[in-house]
Amino acid sequence: MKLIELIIGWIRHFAFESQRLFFFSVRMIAALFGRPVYAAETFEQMYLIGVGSLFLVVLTGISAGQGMALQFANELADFGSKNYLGRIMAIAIIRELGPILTGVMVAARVAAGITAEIGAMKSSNQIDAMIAFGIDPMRKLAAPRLISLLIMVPVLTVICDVISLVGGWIIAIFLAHITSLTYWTAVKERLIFGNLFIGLVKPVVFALIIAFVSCYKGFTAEGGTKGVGQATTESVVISSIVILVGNFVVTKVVFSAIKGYL
Amino acid sequence: MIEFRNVNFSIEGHPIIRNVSFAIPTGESRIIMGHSGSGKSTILRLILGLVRPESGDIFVDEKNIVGMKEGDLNEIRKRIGMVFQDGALFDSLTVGENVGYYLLEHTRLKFREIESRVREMLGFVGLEEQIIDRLPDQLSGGMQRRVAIGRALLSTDPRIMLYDEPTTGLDPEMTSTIINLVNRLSEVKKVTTVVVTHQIADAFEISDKFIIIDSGEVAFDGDLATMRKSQDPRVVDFLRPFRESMTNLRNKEFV
Repeated sequence: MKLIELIIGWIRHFAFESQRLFFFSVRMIAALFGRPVYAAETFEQMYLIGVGSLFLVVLTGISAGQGMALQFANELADFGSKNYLGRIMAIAIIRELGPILTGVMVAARVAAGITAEIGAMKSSNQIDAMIAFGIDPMRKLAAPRLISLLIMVPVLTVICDVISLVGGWIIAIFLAHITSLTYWTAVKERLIFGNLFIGLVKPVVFALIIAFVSCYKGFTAEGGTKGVGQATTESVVISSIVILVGNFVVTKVVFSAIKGYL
Repeated sequence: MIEFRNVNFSIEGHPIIRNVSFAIPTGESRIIMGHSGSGKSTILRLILGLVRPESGDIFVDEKNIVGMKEGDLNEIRKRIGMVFQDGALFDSLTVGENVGYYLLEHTRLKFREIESRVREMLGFVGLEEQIIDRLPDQLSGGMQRRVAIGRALLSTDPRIMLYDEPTTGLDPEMTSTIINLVNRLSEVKKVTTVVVTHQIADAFEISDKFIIIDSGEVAFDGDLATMRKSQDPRVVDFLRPFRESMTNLRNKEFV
């Protein structure tokens, strides 16, 4: 009986939080329009998110690209199809690995930072002070982060794609003994509209997820430093899970929509 | 003029403010006292429109701010200076940027003009100009409080000043400095002043008119003489520790 009550309570809490997150997201989008526009804050965030995450994305991109190429090359060798390595790498990286890796890496690094910063500002009354001076914190704090993520996550994803493909190329020429021309020609064959479209829609969706969840968790953080710490952890966990679930949903929806272009 | 009429406010079903009514005429000072968690700070947040009451009316300069749109509320806020508990300075900005925050955000004044006003304001609140480039973390509690007062003053040229526990956690010397500053502002600028505190000794130095809040309700609203005579158990209970400490002080022999 207690277990059922616990489950019902959890479902209720989940529904309530989802509803609050939805309305918060709507307010965040509304904050993008109108004045004032905080350009300096937006550029600062773009720098922090973009340049700050670059090393992480490059490192994970090249390692993942090399690992995948190694696995695929071994399997393809059994069928005498090593020349297709570039094709498989292009599809796997551009459609799936690049966006997912970048999304999760940015979620881990940036979502934590955003939630901790906004949460700390809230717990020290800085957000109230902002409102007292007639400044809309949604416009001042949330909107620049949303814009920055919407620009930088796709950019980082493209960088991750390129680096991963380069990682695959290193394996291709040194371990799989495929010529550069064969590898890059095969890659180029799969750089078609459908793949590029999926590869660029996903990071936009992931950017929205990271921005909504991290800002929401920051603005609703309660309970002092302990509460901010908890909100930060939840922000990373929720963002990462929603990115993974969202990846499947986006793949399914976009696949149905652009089947003819794949 | 600030007026509360039958104001009720609760958080997640827990009543914080219960049927509170009082009025503070323009230019007067009022001390709001009460135990921790009695709802004192919430009254300041209600005046600023940071939280909205469930029922009742709140008048600021004869305008009812309950149900007011955020844009209109911002116009009201421009006439209110708020010094938050612990200052609430923006920790990523320097002292200069904090004090000049409103001017940087809302005006198109040249940077030099803003800097000159910030330096002037630092002088007014008794701080040295050299701290202009320091971060709030590098200042003492008393200095942070004075920077916060300077920020509130420079931002809005307010007609109402709200102070949330302005002397809590400060040493006696710094407490005296802050109290002098609060009093000087009331006298020089003729602002309506509301100070929330639970430091009774400090309260007596700022004003002789008090509101005591107990469990979200107004337990007392009047002057010092009436408060001393009050037989209301909530007032007697609140003043007891202060009375005892004063008696102990009188009985003590200083060698």
